[in-house]
Amino acid sequence: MKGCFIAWATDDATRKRGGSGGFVSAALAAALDNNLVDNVLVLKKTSPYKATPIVTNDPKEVLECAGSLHFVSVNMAKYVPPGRVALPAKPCDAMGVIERAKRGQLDLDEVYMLGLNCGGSLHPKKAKKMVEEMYNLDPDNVIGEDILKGELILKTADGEKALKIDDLEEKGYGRRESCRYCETNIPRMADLACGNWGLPVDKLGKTTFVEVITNKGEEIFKNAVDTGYVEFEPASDKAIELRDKIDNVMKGLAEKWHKRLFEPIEKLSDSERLAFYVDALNRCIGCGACRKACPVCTCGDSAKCLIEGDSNYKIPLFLMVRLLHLMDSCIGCGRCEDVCPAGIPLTLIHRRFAERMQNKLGYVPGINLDKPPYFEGELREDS
Amino acid sequence: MEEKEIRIGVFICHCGTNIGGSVDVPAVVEYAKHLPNVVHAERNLYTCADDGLTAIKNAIKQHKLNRVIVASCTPRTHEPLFRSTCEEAGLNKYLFEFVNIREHCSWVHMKDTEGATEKTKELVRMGVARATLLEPQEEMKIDVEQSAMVIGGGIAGITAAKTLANQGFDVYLVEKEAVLGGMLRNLYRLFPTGEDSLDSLQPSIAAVEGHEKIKVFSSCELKEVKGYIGNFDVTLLREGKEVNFKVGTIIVATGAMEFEPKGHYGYGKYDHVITQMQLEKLLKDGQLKKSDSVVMIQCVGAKGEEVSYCSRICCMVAIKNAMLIKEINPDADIHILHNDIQAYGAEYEELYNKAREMGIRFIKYTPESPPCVTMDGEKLKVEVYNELFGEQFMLGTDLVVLSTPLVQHQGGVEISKLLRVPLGKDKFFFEAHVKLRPVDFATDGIFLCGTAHGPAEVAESVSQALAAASGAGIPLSRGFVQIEAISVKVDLEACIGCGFCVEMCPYQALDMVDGKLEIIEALCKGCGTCVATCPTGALEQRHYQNNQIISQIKSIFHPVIE
Amino acid sequence: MKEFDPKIVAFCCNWCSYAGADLAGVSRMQYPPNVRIIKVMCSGRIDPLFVLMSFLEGADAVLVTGCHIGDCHYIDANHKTKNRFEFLKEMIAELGIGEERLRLEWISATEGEKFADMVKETVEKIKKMGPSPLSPKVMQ
Ligand SMILES: Cc1cc2nc3c(=O)[nH]c(=O)nc-3n(C[C@H](O)[C@H](O)[C@H](O)COP(=O)(O)OP(=O)(O)OC[C@H]3O[C@@H](n4cnc5c(N)ncnc54)[C@H](O)[C@@H]3O)c2cc1C
Ligand SMILES: Cc1cc2nc3c(=O)[nH]c(=O)nc-3n(C[C@H](O)[C@H](O)[C@H](O)COP(=O)(O)OP(=O)(O)OC[C@H]3O[C@@H](n4cnc5c(N)ncnc54)[C@H](O)[C@@H]3O)c2cc1C
Ligand code: SF4
Ligand code: SF4
Ligand code: SF4
Ligand code: SF4
Ligand code: SF4
Ligand code: SF4
Ligand code: FES
Repeated sequence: MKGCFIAWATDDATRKRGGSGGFVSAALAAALDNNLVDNVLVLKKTSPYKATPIVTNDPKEVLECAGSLHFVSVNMAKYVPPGRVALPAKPCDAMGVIERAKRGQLDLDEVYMLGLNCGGSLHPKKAKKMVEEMYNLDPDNVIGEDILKGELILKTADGEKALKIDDLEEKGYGRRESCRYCETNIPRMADLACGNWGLPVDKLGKTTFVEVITNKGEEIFKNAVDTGYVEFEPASDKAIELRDKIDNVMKGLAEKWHKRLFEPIEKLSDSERLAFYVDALNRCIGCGACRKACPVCTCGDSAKCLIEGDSNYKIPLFLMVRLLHLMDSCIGCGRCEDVCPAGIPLTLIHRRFAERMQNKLGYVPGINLDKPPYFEGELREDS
Repeated sequence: MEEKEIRIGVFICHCGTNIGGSVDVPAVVEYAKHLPNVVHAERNLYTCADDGLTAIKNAIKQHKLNRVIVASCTPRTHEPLFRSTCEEAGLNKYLFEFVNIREHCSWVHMKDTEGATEKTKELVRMGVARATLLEPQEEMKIDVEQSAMVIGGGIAGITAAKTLANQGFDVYLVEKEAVLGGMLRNLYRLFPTGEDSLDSLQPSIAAVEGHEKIKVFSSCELKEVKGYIGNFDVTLLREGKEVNFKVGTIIVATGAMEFEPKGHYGYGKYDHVITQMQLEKLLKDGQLKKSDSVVMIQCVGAKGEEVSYCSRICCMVAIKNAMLIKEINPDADIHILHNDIQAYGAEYEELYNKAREMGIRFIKYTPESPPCVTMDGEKLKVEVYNELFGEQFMLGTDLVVLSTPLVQHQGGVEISKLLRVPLGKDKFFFEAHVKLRPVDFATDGIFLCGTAHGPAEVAESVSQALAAASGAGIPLSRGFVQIEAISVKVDLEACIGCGFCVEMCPYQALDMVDGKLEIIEALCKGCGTCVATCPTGALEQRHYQNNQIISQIKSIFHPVIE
Repeated sequence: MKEFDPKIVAFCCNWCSYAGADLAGVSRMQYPPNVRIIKVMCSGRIDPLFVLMSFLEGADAVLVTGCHIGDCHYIDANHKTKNRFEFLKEMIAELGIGEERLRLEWISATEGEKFADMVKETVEKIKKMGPSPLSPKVMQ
């Protein structure tokens, strides 16, 4: 049963509420219903800008959480409970889950990841500002949002308003910086990859494009169908092609953004680059939020990065250790930068260090299942 | 440690002029007195001498010291001494800190008193920073397997095995060849006594082979040695099959071999150019053709490019064999071409003189213009520049014998890898300390003797073997060893169970049991690799704690730390 | 102003490089007094954190030293040293403080000369490069 399908929730309310066809929510509920998992991790929306990760075993609650939240940038990996569990996972959520599994925090065999394709998310605070400045709307009046064909559509009681994402981003709004250059759109490291790319126009908003990737994915999918939660039809070759085409376009765009954001640093001389790092990192007030938000970091209150340095250091020891520990493992999720009260371009800096090492090692964290090379004991061929 | 006042005593050694000559010791003492937690600082002419040690003990009592720092030579030789001095005065030996200001300072900055003095102050400061954070430790006792393994069945190995067995310990003697005896099997008569090599060897071999405490494994190859002092697990290969046993200590006596002088002086090209070893065999088998004229060339390959050292015994070997040829054929014309004769000791001096009386001629050549061997019709021709006469000599000869140095062989190199003990620059096994620990390796429980250590004659090989056997016998007769308290401990509250440390350990001392880290302390050797890896800092190494090392780093850059 | 006097931190393992430094002394090899040795049992104990901290404290160079590959007293613990060093190397390169400030050397107990040469070379090189720009004492 591996391959691509077009699927939807049989329950109309879920189908309507869902980001595309409500398949994900229906399949999660079915998994609970049929005792495939003990718990499900989903996002409970309180507003378009805020949602709380909840762990539940109530299928109804899961169905109520259907819908895509583009203005919420939490990473789900940190909230995965132990035991048999299913969750919706953007690529960076799935990568976080895999990295946490490598660190003994969970058992991948017990985690079912219903991957969500992802073209990017927005930072809630910046989204609000954008709603005011660019859409001339009161953020509180927005009831929902959607991304279609390169446009960000806001829904209010009075109707819809759409603006081009490219234009928004040129003006400093739009997706988080990390999302702009994130090249993983289809989460093939998850068990399923669900999205709306590739759907024929008449099925947009009514169905979900589902790729079944692993045996576990097959289990989830079959269970959803067998329990009557979900119906499906095979995806046409045309649909599959279309999805790949959009994926490639998005990858190309990400590459461009990458160049645009990293080239200025690339061009700096050694001493200019150091000055850039010192200036940026020295703004740290030591709140520790970046570490707590980072899906890869699993240490508790005791951590090497918490060893005290001296106040006269040009770069806090804390950040130096974090840069080191994440060189092989940073998945570029953008969470550190999201939460930094000092406004340090943390993800950009982490990626500079990490790309250097990851490219050298040919290691992609979150996708490659090998243990992090920092903890490797063998001598590498090239050294 | 309870919140007790830290009271550090600092003892700075002049080491005669070794330190005092290039470090202003009184200035360092003054400096040390003002470092935090230091309540006493003094200098000693020789801290390791009786009065120095007494001074430490007295000061511990008088000043209620709970940390002691000695700034002197190197912990690699003197730490045990100072540690036990502290213990005698009732201070846990892990509260002692060593600061190396001789090997790492005064001896390497001999012409820079100011620089050396400043550096010494900083080194003492680092020591104080570390000492402040030291914690007392209890050592673990490990039972010792009361048996030993001797690797190599030459005269050195045989002697060591016999000595240990006579003390009542089980001995496994491992020899890769089918028979025991090593190099001596191929020799004819031995200097200085002239006795037959086999005559002196056979009784020893018989004693070993018949000894109830000795198991001889000949034609055996060592495959693996795991473990540590007191508990080495040995795996041998005998006829392709594995043999396993356990021993408490190990002696390496793998010998040496004669350097093969390929390409030197026509060796390999002309039939009558041979080595001393080949000559010994000819003499022994009575196969040496009557030779009216023999030329021996010394230092072939030695003191030069291939081998940089002097092999010490070859001069005596040449003289011995020259005399033996003379005995067979008194009319033989024998020349020894040398580059300085090594005839140390009265006996050897005597042999040398006797050789001259017998008419053996010695010609000194210089390394810049070495002799040249060519073929002149049926005869060999040796040209040599005689330094003494300042003229070129031409010697026609029946036989050219090359004296080549003893060198390490493949078997030794393999043992070095297997036991993880080092080889020196000359490729021979490298002892823990030239003067103080000449037959020990730095690794506890492993010893060495004989030509495995470097060129030696039989008497030297035998006395080293006796020394190694007595060293290897000490832990065996004591029955236990105490292991340094430098193993690791885990704070399970902080541990997140990532398990990365488990795979770091070279000794499988760590294990994840139901998501919980367990440490098998007896297996931990205290390398600290797991500690460096642990992201949470849940692992700590005793005596090399993170905070101790960090305080050392910080103290380098902070004139005074609070 | 006083001539720039580099501060160099060297981490040495008990069995090889520390012994190598001892031998340099026993052989009376002369080298400049800029290096501060911190002894650990094995180079595997050298937490990269120590190296980063040394630089942040003001080290102008850091030397990570141990036994040659194959000679480590703890079987292959120095393989891990080498592996972690690769990370440090990339990190120092990215920071832009000059890659030559960080050095990994395998020094056996018999290589006193190598130890002395390493110190001499490093001091010379660092004197030319000037103080580490990461040092708190250096204004940017
Ligand atoms: C930020 C974002 C960007 C996306 N971009 C694309 C895209 O470019 N192309 C594409 O084909 N598909 C994209 N998707 C996926 C798509 O919007 C649908 O989520 C997917 O098609 C599944 O639809 P569904 O109706 O089956 O899921 P639903 O039944 O609506 O279930 C969705 C589940 O995802 C959870 N969820 C909602 N928001 C988030 C969030 N921010 N992070 C983690 N979990 C969340 C909900 O709690 C719910 O359980 C994106 C989704 C998100 C969240
Ligand atoms: C030409 C010549 C003439 C000499 N003449 C004299 C003399 O007249 N008087 C004198 O006092 N000295 C003389 N010597 C020196 C004398 O031979 C040595 O001092 C002595 O033989 C050294 O004994 P040993 O046990 O150290 O080494 P060896 O005799 O070399 O014995 C070492 C043994 O170890 C075994 N072995 C090696 N590797 C392994 C392994 N991996 N596993 C198991 N076993 C292994 C070897 O097979 C060998 O049996 C002479 C030497 C030479 C070369
Ligand atoms: S980082 Fe990538 S996967 Fe994560 S939200 Fe952004 S675009 Fe999506
Ligand atoms: S360092 Fe930042 S971008 Fe990298 S994984 Fe952690 S939170 Fe995500
Ligand atoms: S940076 Fe390192 S020490 Fe800090 S939380 Fe992450 S893994 Fe742990
Ligand atoms: S979130 Fe920002 S300010 Fe807070 S510790 Fe991280 S870098 Fe420093
Ligand atoms: S210190 Fe070394 S030997 Fe001990 S447990 Fe850790 S890695 Fe193993
Ligand atoms: S590396 Fe540290 S945190 Fe991880 S299992 Fe070992 S002790 Fe625990
Ligand atoms: S003991 Fe020297 S590197 Fe391990």
